[in-house]
Amino acid sequence: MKKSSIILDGAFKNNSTFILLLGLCPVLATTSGVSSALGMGLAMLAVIIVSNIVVSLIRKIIPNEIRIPVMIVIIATIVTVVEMLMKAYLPDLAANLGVYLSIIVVNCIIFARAESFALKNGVLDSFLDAIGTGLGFILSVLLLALAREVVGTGAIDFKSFISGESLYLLRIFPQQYAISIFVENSGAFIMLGLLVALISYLVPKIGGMKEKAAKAKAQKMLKPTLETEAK
Amino acid sequence: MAKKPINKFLLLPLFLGTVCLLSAGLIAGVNSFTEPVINQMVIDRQNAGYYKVLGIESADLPVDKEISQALASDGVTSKKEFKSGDALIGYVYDVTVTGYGGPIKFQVGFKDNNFSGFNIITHGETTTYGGVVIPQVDGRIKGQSASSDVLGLINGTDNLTAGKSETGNALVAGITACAEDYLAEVA
Repeated sequence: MKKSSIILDGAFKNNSTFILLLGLCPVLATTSGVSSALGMGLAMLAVIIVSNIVVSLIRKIIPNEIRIPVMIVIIATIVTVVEMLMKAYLPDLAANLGVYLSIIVVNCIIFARAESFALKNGVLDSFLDAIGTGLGFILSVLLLALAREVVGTGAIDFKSFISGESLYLLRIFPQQYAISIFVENSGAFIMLGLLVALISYLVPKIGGMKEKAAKAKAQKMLKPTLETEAK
Repeated sequence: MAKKPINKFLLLPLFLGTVCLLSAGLIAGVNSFTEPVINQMVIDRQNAGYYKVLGIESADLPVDKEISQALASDGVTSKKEFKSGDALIGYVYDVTVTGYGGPIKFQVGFKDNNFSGFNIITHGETTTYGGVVIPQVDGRIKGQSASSDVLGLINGTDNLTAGKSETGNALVAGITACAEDYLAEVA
């Protein structure tokens, strides 16, 4: 398997949020603003990279019967460490993410990658898979947060990770036209549904276009061969 | 063949125990350097909060007042008197009550027989309740008479805490205890 396709598969083809619909609880809860979504995404990326590397490193010595509790302990440890570091050095972001930071422990995306990939592959491949899956998660939460914030407030509020203060407010359209339900929890479900529908509509089309292009390319390559054979 | 089950019987808990031990060591190691940073942050927030709840820029060094057993049982951990020269500015109480999500540390200030402010230091509530709802208490009580009904002040017209939840009740009880003590102090 190509190294680049490991990353691309995790990020797009098997996107955990929009394609596999995994780990949606924190996705829905932390995407009311772009800053908190990015914070959640980076925390997830850090946890999934370390967990995939550790699980891959010890995959040959983990007894099969206790692989699940071992992976749970490893993931819980990494999440606890990330949480403690965030509380100490990024307190506003940690407060903003609240309990959703702690529940990364039971996030099925991380567990799924550890169980289905890191346990069966080498360290480098597992690292690349974590990068792909993590980047896919970040892109998904950013897309959802951006859509919710823009439609719900009519603006994008760029906040500092360290102090939580607003750095720059980019107004897209007047606030009076904003649909505030989209920054509420119920709006998260509606926007996620809309984006999943849009992506489900677009993905087969893009796939079809790629297939057509591949067929045309194959035919082009086949034509001179057939001509030579005919001669 | 007979040895295998015995080996596994020992190996599995030993392996899991080792993983747990290593994890605990790592968490303890990280905690040893993050805990002082977190504690210092709470102290800094608390120190800044004294001035914030009194609405002042500076004062003489505050005097720690003795707190009664009854006040301590209501969650009050310290009571500070702020003066500028001989003139009394006000009092700030540090309170820790138990909400639904664990301890809630807050400060409540009084001056001129009125509430002068409320400041939340730490909480274990949800992001919205602890980060958005509880901080609104400041706006509800600030400038109101210290003898007012605290629950009525906080609830206003939109039932902010409703007075029915564990967290809301704990906050109201803590603030009321401070108000009663302040009124007795200045009487």
